This record gives sequence, C-alpha cells and structure tokens, in this order.
Amino acid sequence: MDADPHVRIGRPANSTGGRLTARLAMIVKLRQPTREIEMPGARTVNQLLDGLGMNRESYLVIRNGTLAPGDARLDDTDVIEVRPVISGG
Amino acid sequence: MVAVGSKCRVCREPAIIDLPRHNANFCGEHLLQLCRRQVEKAIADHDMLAPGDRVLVAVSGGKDSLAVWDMLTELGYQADGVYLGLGIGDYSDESAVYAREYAEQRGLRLRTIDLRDEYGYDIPTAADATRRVPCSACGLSKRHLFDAAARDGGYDVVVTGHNLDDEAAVLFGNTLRWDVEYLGRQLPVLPARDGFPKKAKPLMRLTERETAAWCIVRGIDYQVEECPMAAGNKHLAYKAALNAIERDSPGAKAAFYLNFVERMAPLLAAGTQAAAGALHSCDRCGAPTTGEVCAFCALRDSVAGRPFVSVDVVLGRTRRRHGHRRGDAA
Repeated sequence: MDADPHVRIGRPANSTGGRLTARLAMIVKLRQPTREIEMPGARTVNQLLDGLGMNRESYLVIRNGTLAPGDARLDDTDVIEVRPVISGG
Repeated sequence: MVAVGSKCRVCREPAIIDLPRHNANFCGEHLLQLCRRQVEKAIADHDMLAPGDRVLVAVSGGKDSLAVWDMLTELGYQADGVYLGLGIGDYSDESAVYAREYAEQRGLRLRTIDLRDEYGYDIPTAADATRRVPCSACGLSKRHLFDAAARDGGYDVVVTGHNLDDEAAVLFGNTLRWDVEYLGRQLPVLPARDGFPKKAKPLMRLTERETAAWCIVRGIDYQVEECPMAAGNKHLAYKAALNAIERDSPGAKAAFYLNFVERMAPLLAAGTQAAAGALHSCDRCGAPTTGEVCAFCALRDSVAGRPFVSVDVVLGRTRRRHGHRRGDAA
C-alpha cells in the first residue's frame, strides 16, 4: 500500500489553490462520494489502483478525459479520475 | 500481464482499456465494436428483439440503461425510454437530469412517471411503511409500472440494462440459497405471458466495466454516484465477492453466468413452468396477479395517507437496526 494520500473533499480538480509552486503530486478524483486526493510520483494505472486497495475489475481510470489501460503511466501533471463501475440497483 | 504501451488487439493503435477476460486490450473504436457484437449475439441467441419491434427501455440515468438505449438505437431499433421518478432525494433529481438530457440531445422520446405526483408515495416512504429494505419497494414499483407503460403504449418488449455483473450477482445469491424457483426464472429473456409484456436484457454478455467504458467513449454523461438506499445491500456484497474471484481468474464471472444460462437454466425450465400459478386480473388496477389484489396495489395501500419520509430518516433507522443486530449477536 502507498502512504496515506492527502484527502481533500470537494476541491475542483483544476484548482491550484492559489499556489505558485509547481505541482508535485497528481490530483486524483474519487467517487462515491466525490472527493480528491493527492498522490506523489509517477505510476501506472494498475499501481494506482493497487495502492488505493481497489480491485481493477471494479474501476475505470480516466486520464485527462480519456480512458487509460492498466499499464498506462500516469504523471504528476495528469488529472485523474478513478471511476467505480459497480452499482447496487 | 499487459505489456507497457499496450496496443489494440484489432488495429494495433494505442489501447484505452485492458479486458483481462478477453486477454486483450482495445482502442475506443474496437471496444465499441466488441460491445456491439456482444449485444447483437445476445439478441440473436435468445430471440430478444425482432426487426420492427417497438422497444421500451427502462431508463434510470445510470450507465447501463443509457448504454443499452444507445446501442439499440445505433443498431436501428425503434426504442423509446421510460424513466421512473423514485423520490430518493438529490440522487433521483440528478438521475432524472441525466436521462432527460440524453434523450433531448439525441431526439429520443422519454416518458417520465413520478411516484410522488402520480401514485402519492416515494421509495423512502414505502421503505418506512413496509419496514423492508428500500430495494424491495423500488423493484416492485419498477416492474409494475414498466409493465403497465409497455401495455398502455403498445410496446412489444421492455428492455432493461441488467448486465453480466448484475445477473451473476443474482445467480450467486440464488445459488447460495439454492432457490430453485428463482433460479428457474433467471433468464435473459421472458416471453409475453398472461398480460405481462416480453422482457429482455441485451447487456447480459457485457460487464459493468464494459458498459461504463461504452458511455465514456461515446461521451454519455450518466449518474456515477451510487443510490444512497442501496448502500450495504447484498447485491453489492455479491458483486464484490465475484470481482475478487474475477481478478484472480479472469473470465470466471462470465463462465458462471453464461454457462448457467446455456446448461442449467434449460434443466430448471420444466419445473418452473409447472409451478407457475394461474393468473387473473387485479381487482383494483387490472394487472395480472395470482391474488385478488396485486403486490403493487397492496404496497399503495400500505403507504396511503402517510407523509413523505426523507432518505436520511430511513438510512438512520436501517443503521440503528443493523447496529442492534450486531449487538445481539455479540
């Protein structure tokens, strides 16, 4: 498991929060409920999901608006959404 | 293991998704082709739809119902939608917007039925009145009103967005209980019978991951958040269990359900037909039922005159009840 990511509820993914320094961690949007976390360091989609303890069969990862396969490498500058696909209805 | 920089199995362009159960990766175009072919195969194998059929799609605003509506329309079927307003707080309000916007943007016809406005109750109130899980009143209301909408509108078949994960989870639950009657009825298509319309599940061969990917690639906005009243239900627990198996054994989920349909369901069919009781019309609404009053009218009786109850009240009661049970067991 990765170190505990810093959770920020409700902050938009494109916000810089007024900081002038370069971003050193990718912003990852999670759902159910919607919130954001920061995760430092480049990694693959599968490494991201494994680090979050998420089953790859239950999620899709969207990078900068486009689906990304398990071996796609994610960088600090990417805007990432981890979208659950399981519904209980 | 997927190689770095994976390519589409069909065209060798960069892949956007890996599908371990197919041991392959796909670009957007060929993912859509795969989904389309799976739906066409399901329709053909089970005689779900015929050319010229008038199709009514039960639309929730979620990925599956919008995906199946999208696919059927693309395949040339005349498919209208019906949306049921369940009154589950913000979740229902937002879901209605997704369904309405999808229909408006594509010039499709969507009929909306509102439980509160037209029947005087909503799902939280029904759950509170019946003291049963909310999904029970929700499923009952949907089945009754979608059937009625199909009969009233002269549709040939009701299509729902049930996918492979949904069906595998239901099968898992029925199998854990060896509920032979339910197992015998768990078919991807049910023919019209005694006033019930024909029902079909064209997404039976597609996983939730694949239907979600269809929506993302096709630019379909849908309700991503989970129904607050479904939280913690058995269906979700069964899906999690099956996905844990699927991760280690890709294809296990499809084999479990699709082989049931092919090999086991025919063995159970004879017993189920023999057990089917005689149907007549509900004294109140005329719907087919085995009793004098159908389950939907009985539900309406139980909620008649009650003030609306909020989602939070029902969830709080459920949590307290579960906490009490855990205390009893300790």
